[in-house]
Amino acid sequence: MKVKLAPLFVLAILATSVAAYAHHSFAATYDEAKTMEIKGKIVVFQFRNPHSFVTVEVTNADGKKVRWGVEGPGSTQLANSGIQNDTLRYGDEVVVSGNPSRTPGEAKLRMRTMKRPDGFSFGFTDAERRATEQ
Amino acid sequence: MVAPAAVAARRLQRPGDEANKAMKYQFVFVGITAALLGFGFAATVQGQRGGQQASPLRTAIYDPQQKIYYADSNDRTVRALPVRDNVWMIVGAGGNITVQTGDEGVLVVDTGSGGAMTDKVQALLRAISTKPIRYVLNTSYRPDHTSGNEALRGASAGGGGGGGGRGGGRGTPIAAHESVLARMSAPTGRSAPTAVNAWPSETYYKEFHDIYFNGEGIQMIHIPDAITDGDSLVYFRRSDVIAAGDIFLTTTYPVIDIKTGGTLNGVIAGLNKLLDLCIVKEKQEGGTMVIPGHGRISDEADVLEYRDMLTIVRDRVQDAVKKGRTLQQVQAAGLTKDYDGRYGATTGPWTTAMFIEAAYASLSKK
Repeated sequence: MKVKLAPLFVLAILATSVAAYAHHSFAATYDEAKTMEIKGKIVVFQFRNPHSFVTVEVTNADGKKVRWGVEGPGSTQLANSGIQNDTLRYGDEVVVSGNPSRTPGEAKLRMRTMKRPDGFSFGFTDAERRATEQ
Repeated sequence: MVAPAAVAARRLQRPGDEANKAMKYQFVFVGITAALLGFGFAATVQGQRGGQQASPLRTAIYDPQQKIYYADSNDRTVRALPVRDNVWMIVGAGGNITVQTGDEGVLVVDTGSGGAMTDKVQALLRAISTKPIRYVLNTSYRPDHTSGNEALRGASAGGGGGGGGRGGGRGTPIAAHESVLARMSAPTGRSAPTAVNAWPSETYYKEFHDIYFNGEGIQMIHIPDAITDGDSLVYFRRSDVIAAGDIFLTTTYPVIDIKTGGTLNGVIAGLNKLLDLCIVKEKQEGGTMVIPGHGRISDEADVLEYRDMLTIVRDRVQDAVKKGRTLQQVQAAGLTKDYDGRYGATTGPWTTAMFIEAAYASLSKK
């Protein structure tokens, strides 16, 4: 009987495996006690699980261009919020607010809200934020 | 009368051996599972390659003498030629298409001019490998290199790992320099020149972009301001093959796209980079194989000749610009006469006069 169940057991393990690429705790990477805002142009939108990434090119006061890596919810959660793989496009001007990296000087942000001049906006309530962290 | 096979099977049975019986069930179970998984995989392959086709799939024809696959028995212009090991070149469907195959699947560099050619390209890809297309790389945004993107990308979501994957939820990932995406797409609210599903999903903006696929390191190397502002060389490091895109052609003068940031000096810089990567086998022959954007399979000697030709022409045009000659005077001066027999044209999409105009504009920039 033990022998007969062995393949089923292996199959069950394989079936319940999930990808864990780039999955990590937001709180460990970003300082959730702080919030900051950046304004710039989208140059990359990676619509993926478990977290999506947007790269925003920001022009500093001295004219120097800096690329900010903005991390947000996975594609499944974004899709549930009405965001598809072509909602954010190369060249879109956006204002993003979020939590900065815990590493000083690192151009990274955990996205809280995003706005675009055409009226598009994205943001979480506290309850939604908690849900995404589970 | 008992069949010999049945006798042999009976002889193998050990009466009362329960473990053997259990093993037999186990093999049957694993066999059924494998068959089901295999069916699912086959369906995926079908979905990616020919899911949108209602008519029977085209079958390529193989010529064992020349080791060439032809997409059509009547029209032998679209064909796949072996380059080295698991790398192939498809010609005749727009810009040359480089194909790398292996256990992980198929990777293609550029997708040709699309349209009626797509069916033929897909037939050749099916003949070269039964595996699905897992990666598409673009050397440029130009339509003769990207118009097949949407069809070859396939309809299935999640070409990479995890949800949207590297394909961004649009199927097989397409990698290219960031400028390629900028040229093919448009910000929200504006009309884009190409369909969303044709856009690259994996872009880079620095000098290199690395991919490891089918046990081989593959480098995309950005050549700034060459044919356009977003050209890439694609270097297959183990196979020692380089897909050069339109930076290197064996058929015409370079098709410098001034409006999208192309320059003659950028093309020459790209050819010099290409020469740095090439290693000849013996007496300036063989070694690294170079697949041009258009034309035949080449080696370092071919690239060297093209680079020298362009440098000489550049110097001649630059001298004329310095002397204050007008474009009409430069075009009439016959500065490319000694190379026109090989690369020139008076008719067609890219004439010698058009090349001189692009070179003149490029070298006149302050």
